[in-house]
Amino acid sequence: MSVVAAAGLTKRFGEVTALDDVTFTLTGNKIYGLLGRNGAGKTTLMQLITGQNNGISGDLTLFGERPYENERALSRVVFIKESQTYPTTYQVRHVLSLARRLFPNWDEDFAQSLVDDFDLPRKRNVRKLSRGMLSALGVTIGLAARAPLTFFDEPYLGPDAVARQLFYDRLLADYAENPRTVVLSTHLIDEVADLIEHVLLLDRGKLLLDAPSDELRGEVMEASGPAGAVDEFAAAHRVLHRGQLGGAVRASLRGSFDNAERMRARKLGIDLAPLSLQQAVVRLTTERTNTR
Amino acid sequence: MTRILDVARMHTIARVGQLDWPWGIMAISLGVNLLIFASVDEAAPGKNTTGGLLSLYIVCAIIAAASISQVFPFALGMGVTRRTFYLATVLVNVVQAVVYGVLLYLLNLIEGATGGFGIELRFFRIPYIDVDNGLLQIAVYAVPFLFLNFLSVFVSVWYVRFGMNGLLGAGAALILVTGLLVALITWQGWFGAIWQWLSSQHQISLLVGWPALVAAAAALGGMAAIRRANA
Repeated sequence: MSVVAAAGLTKRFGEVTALDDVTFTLTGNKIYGLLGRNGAGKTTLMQLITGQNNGISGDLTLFGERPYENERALSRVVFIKESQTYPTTYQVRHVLSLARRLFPNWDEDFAQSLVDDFDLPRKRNVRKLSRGMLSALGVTIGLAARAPLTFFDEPYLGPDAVARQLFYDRLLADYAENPRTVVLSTHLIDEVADLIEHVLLLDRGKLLLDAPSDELRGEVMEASGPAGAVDEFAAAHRVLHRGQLGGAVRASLRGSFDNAERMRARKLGIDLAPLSLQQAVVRLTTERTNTR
Repeated sequence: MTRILDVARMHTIARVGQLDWPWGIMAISLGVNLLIFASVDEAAPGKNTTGGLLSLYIVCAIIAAASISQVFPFALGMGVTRRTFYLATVLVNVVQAVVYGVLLYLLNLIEGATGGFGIELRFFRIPYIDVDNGLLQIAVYAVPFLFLNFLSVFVSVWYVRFGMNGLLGAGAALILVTGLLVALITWQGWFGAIWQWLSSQHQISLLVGWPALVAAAAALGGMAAIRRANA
């Protein structure tokens, strides 16, 4: 059974179309990267899946059921977001104590070890935590909840590089032992590129890409060489971006680059190299601007 | 049901807001009243009554409003449904009203037994709301909590759902309707009849019956409004 299934999902806020006819399926035990620029619709999508918002057209199911006000489906999800607010009187230990009862798969030992790892002061008022500590609290809940579907919406804007690395390490280690579906939404694409198994790329409310990250890496390439040769080679592919300096051209191309294609590039004297996930995302989301 | 109890803990876990503040402020109010009335040599008969108890009710109502605007977004973020959150909120408010009603009744008895703390003070035994029957006395103390808290919860839910413009718009509409109603009553000369109706009501209807009815209506209205509210 699919974990999440969206078909023709559309969400409007007045005049603004936040999600436009989005169709995809999330399956079990995979780490997804939900990527896209600010305002692309990432947070809206996660809010709809987790029942925080409604008023959609199209179809959306969570564990086979509609998510809005659905206790059974929602108790299998944890949604950690940068913008989460806490009541002013809460201390760190209060939040953890409540989370322990709310998430059926909660692992208390794991939670306590994360609190120690992140140096979270248990008795400090949540409103007095630094930004990094606040993110660490969210990450602790998100990991220890062991929910079958786990969302991290920009969970690591606050923490420094060391804490972020700790998060990635703990996520991977725990994921290996307790496989589940994880959705990472972030701008720091290169940092998480190795974690992500499947990419969902949103751009202005539309789903631009829904592909395994390996496939994407082989699909988006940069060809550089003499202008004539590159342009001849590029004719068989979709040009996402073209930059020229004198007689040399660099072009970002999307298409299928099998061995024959690679041989052809070499014969033409073209240097063909895969783009990083981040560069690929940038090229894919700015394509429209360039071709206009 | 377990989940409702787990969510109810969201309201009670930080004791400082839910319990310490209301009773602390009431204790200060009581202390100040004791000092004032003790320093007055001979209070005129019937002038040893104080409305200091109101502080407890007002602080509780403020906390009830904050419990929506602050706890609701957190609860939603933890995957709690609006329905469960609201039922837990109702549960906390009802249990709290009963427990506080009992506590106030006990303080009422202490005040009576000590001769108004030795100075004939009527802090808890306020005339008119001081009744003979113990259970009734608990209800008389408890129902105003429900009345104020559920109205406060309703206003807070309205704010969460419709924002500042929704709140002010509703306030403006309320002022307009009330104003028109008062004008109509004045024009038709209905004040006498209204006063007559009020004074014909039984003490218990005014102290318990009608406020409980309004509280129930506000509680139901809050439930209807929160079902489509987003944090």
